[in-house]
Amino acid sequence: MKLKLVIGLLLLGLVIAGSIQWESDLIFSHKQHAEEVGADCDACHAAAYTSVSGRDDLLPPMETCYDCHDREMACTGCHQRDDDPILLPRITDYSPKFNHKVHVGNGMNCLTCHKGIEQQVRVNEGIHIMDMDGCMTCHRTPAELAGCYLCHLETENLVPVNHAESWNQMHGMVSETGARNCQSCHRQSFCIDCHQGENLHNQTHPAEFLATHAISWQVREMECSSCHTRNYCIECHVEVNRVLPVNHLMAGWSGKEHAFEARRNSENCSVCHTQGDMVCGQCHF
Amino acid sequence: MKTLILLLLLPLALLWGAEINGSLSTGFYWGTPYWNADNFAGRNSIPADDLFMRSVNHLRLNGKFFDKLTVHMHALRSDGFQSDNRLSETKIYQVYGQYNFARGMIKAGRFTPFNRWIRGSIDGGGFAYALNKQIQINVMGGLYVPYGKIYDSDNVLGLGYADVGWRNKTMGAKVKLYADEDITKAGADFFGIWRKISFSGNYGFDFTNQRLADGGLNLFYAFNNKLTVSGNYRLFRSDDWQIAQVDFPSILIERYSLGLRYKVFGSYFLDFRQMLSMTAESSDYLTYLNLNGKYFHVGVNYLAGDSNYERIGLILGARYSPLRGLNLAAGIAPVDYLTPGDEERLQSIAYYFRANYSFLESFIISANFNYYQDNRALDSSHRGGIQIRYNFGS
Repeated sequence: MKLKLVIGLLLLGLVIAGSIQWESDLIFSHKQHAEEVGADCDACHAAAYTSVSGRDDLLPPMETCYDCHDREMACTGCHQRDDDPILLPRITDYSPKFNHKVHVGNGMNCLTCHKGIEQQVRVNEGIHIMDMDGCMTCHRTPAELAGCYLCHLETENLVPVNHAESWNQMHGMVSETGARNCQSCHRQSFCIDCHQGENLHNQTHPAEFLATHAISWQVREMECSSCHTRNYCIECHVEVNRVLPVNHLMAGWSGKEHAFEARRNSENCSVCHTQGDMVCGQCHF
Repeated sequence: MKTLILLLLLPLALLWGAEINGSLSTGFYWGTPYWNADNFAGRNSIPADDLFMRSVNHLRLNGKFFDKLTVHMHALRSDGFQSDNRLSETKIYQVYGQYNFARGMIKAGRFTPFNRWIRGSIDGGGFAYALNKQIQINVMGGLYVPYGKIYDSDNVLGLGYADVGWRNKTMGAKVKLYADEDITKAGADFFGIWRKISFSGNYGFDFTNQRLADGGLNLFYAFNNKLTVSGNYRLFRSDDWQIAQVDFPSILIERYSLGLRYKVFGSYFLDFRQMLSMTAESSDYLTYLNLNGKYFHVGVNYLAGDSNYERIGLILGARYSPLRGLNLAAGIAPVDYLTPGDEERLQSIAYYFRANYSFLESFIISANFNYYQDNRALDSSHRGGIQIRYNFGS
């Protein structure tokens, strides 16, 4: 009951939080300025052409508007609320290693990265900042972590926010539908290291996993078959340790007990007795 | 003579026009069990105190020729030091060529699609074509062994797969069709962002058995730059199990997960996760609480289930980088647990140490050592490995 209550409250919180708008009240149309006024990007964003840091504030101050507009014009000409206008949040937390000057110097057009901005009729915070997916149109995924720091700060936490606690369980579905995002940071070899590799570096599972993996399998904490074929289980449980499950030693196991267990969860049987091996065939022929 | 000259010139010409990258690594590993096709078929056994020492050489190779053609290879060679030849095998995960054109690609060889319904490698071909910026079709087919089954010729199946995908800037979906010699399935995947909530999900129907094949839904939401929440539901089935006169149907498993992450300060995050795994017969609960950051990691996990399992585990780990390129990590993880069928609780302690060092831009040495106290799962209490890797062309 408590669990349902907690889940319900969290979902309610999600819905409420999702309905809140975080926007400036600025009335500004890039489309109008580009198409009707014929303004180039540098008319308002001149500093972008010489900026060498992603932390430079490249949004124009209100003073820039007065290069063309009348200072005496009403606040509501540009802001929806004249009593308490909401200023456009400044963008100063982008990677400081991002260099506009180099990109412009290489002949890149602003619209290559800020795609579609010339068609926007409203201003929304950060919506025109390119994501990693866009960067990787030209850049290549580095083979090693060191390559990431060509653009990112070494003190920066590079792990995306959605790679949170339940990411082990979620990443499959996300990669299935949005694989292009994965490739911003990972090469396909990254997948193979776990999904077809052999956990050579012992980093795939928690440190104590060797002792408790049987429980993890029982409760489906992880999908063993995502990485391991059944040979992997049999290698230790049959060939090396010759460990028999405890219930195989119970009185009546060869009679109805084994049938009961098999009907309850035949997957337990199939870990060792793959698709009904010779042990089963001795009676069930 | 002319043929010989041509044979020599051809690869040289190809290499001349090529852009090649990849990695080559070599190392020694011990303590990890390993198998090859022969030892399973021969029902061999090895001494329980075998250290499982083996050398492993690993090659990844990607080549790009004339801007359109790429070739990819990923292979591993393992050689055991003990137990006859039991730990020795060559595995080729991928070797395929791909021709890229403006709207898609065509590929052939052994490749890994990383598809929900196809895990592992396919020996065959694939084709992708974008009808426009929003719609793309994918087709692939060939021979493969379903993941989870033992890799031998009896388990090889022919399969075909096709999907049609659509995406715009904020969401996407695809419908898919799968058929192999045993079953035919159809389904859909979807993903997107709605009012700052990221979502993704899937649904599949098994036409052969006339039942739901799999399904799931993921939700993720960032309240602000400090607090995020994720919810996850997954439904899947275990494999059918059939013997001569008896057919045990597969069981349906449902798993719910709820995760919260709070950024405490700097790179330190507090993660809390609840998981509920259910079958028709039982429910199991897991809870995790971890504080993870640049210099240390502290965590606790608790598991309890209807079938009388229980587990409580702790982890305490530290990380340190004494100089540029060198990263060290070490920790201790005690655990207390009760396995199904046992009446006596067990305690075990795992210790680990990991190090990696990058040097000369292209080389990395990595090492890991693990020691398990009171480990009943394997007679060898030691696991580990040392490897050196060279990255080229990247």
